[in-house]
Order: sequence, then structure tokens, then C-alpha cells
Amino acid sequence: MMKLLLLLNGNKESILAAHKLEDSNFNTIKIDDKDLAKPKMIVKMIKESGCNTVYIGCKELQLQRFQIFMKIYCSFSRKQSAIIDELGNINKYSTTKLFFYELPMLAFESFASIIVLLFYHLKYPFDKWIYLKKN
Amino acid sequence: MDLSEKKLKGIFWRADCYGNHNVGGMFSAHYGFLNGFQKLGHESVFASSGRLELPPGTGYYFIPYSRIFRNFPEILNLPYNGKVAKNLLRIIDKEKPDFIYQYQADFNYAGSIVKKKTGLPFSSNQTECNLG
Repeated sequence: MMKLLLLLNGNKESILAAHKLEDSNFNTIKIDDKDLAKPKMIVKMIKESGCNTVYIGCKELQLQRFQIFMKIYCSFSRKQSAIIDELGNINKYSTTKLFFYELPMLAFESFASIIVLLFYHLKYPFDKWIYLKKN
Repeated sequence: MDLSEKKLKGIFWRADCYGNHNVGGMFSAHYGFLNGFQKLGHESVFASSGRLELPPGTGYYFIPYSRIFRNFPEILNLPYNGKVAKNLLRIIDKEKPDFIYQYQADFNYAGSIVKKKTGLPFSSNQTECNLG
């Protein structure tokens, strides 16, 4: 059975080699970060590929943003999936992890972001006032 | 400063969150001027938020962004200012550079903190929205 590799960034050969995956089993589609803002397109792409396993490839997981959204798209497509990188790191999709860890973390991030915005909304004018006063 | 006589050490610093997009454009420019600087016999150190290709012999410091703020644009840059300034001041203490060069393309005022605290010659290449 063919597998699908959605190549977000990085080198396909390096990613597959790091995970000891066979190139000939893969149907590869290059996507862009901006495509992650098009859920319908990504889910359709995964469903229409007819593959039973989906990998999303990137250079380095630690630096890759928007992984939660990739996982949400994978949950809609109902395929086995994982985000993998050139260094051999893997972030596997699991429904339990998505609903009980990653989505609550996204909610926490939203809350923390509002706090950060409010804090810096007050801090910047204050810092500017201090700076102008001293100079 | 007379570049022909004194051996200089420079900290080249990129504080924006470029993530895995580390080829082309400014990355080629960084490589080019670091390479040229070294060929002139000077020493360089690079500090940034993600790995990138650097000429051999360039020291590198990784100052990562928060793992919490990953999914909303721009928010992650706000708390990073304090963190990156603190880390860079430590690097400056250790490396004792003669000057700092910063490339910045997002919300950032850490450069002004570093300049103010160290008094080192500071060159900044700023694009897009910057504060400070």
C-alpha cells in the first residue's frame, strides 16, 4: 500500500532516510506553509491520495510551527499519520493525545496569548515613557 | 576602527522566528558577509533562533523561541524580546565582541536593550514592523 508524504520543507531523501522509510512506497506532494491555512484542500488531498498512512515532512520538528493544525487535518482524514523530520524525530498522531493534551494546550496558548497582548500593551508605553524621561 | 590592522570579532544576530525556512534571500547574504569577514582575517559568531548554514569556523548560539507560543502570528515575538536580550548579553560577556550586527524582520526591540547595556558599536538591518 502506498504512503503519502506531504513535504512541507526539507529534503525528501534525508527525511525518509532518517526514518528508514523506502522511497518507492511513497507518493510525495510538496506543500507550502501557507497551504496549512486551507484545511479543505489538505484534507481533500489526503483523502484523494488513497494512501492509508500519511507523513508530513519537515526539516526540524522543534522549529516547526502549526503542528496542532496538521494533526487536526489528519484527524479529519482518518488516516494513520505522523509529522517527521530530517533528524529522525517523529510526532505521531493519536486521537487521545490530540483531545486530551494538544487541544487543551492550544486553548492554554490562546489564553496565554491574550495575557501576553494585554501585558505588552501596558508595558510598551511605560518603557517608552521611561526611555524618553531618561534621554 | 581600522579593519586592515586590528583583528575584529563580531556577533551577527538574527532574532526573528524563521523556523525551518533557512535558505535563500537573507540566509545567502548572511553566509556571504560572514565568509567575507572571515577571509579578511576577522572572527565571527552567529546567534539565532534556528539552525542555518554558516561558513566553517563560525561560532553558533541557538536561542530558541518559547514552545508555548507556536500557533498565533506575532505573539511569540513579544516575550522573546526579553529572553533574547538576556541570552545575547551572556554571549557578549563570554565572546567579548567588538561590534554587533543584527538582522531583524519582526516585532523586536531587543537590539535597543543590548545596545544600551553594552554600548558596543551596533549595526541593525531592520525590515517590516519594529519597535524600539
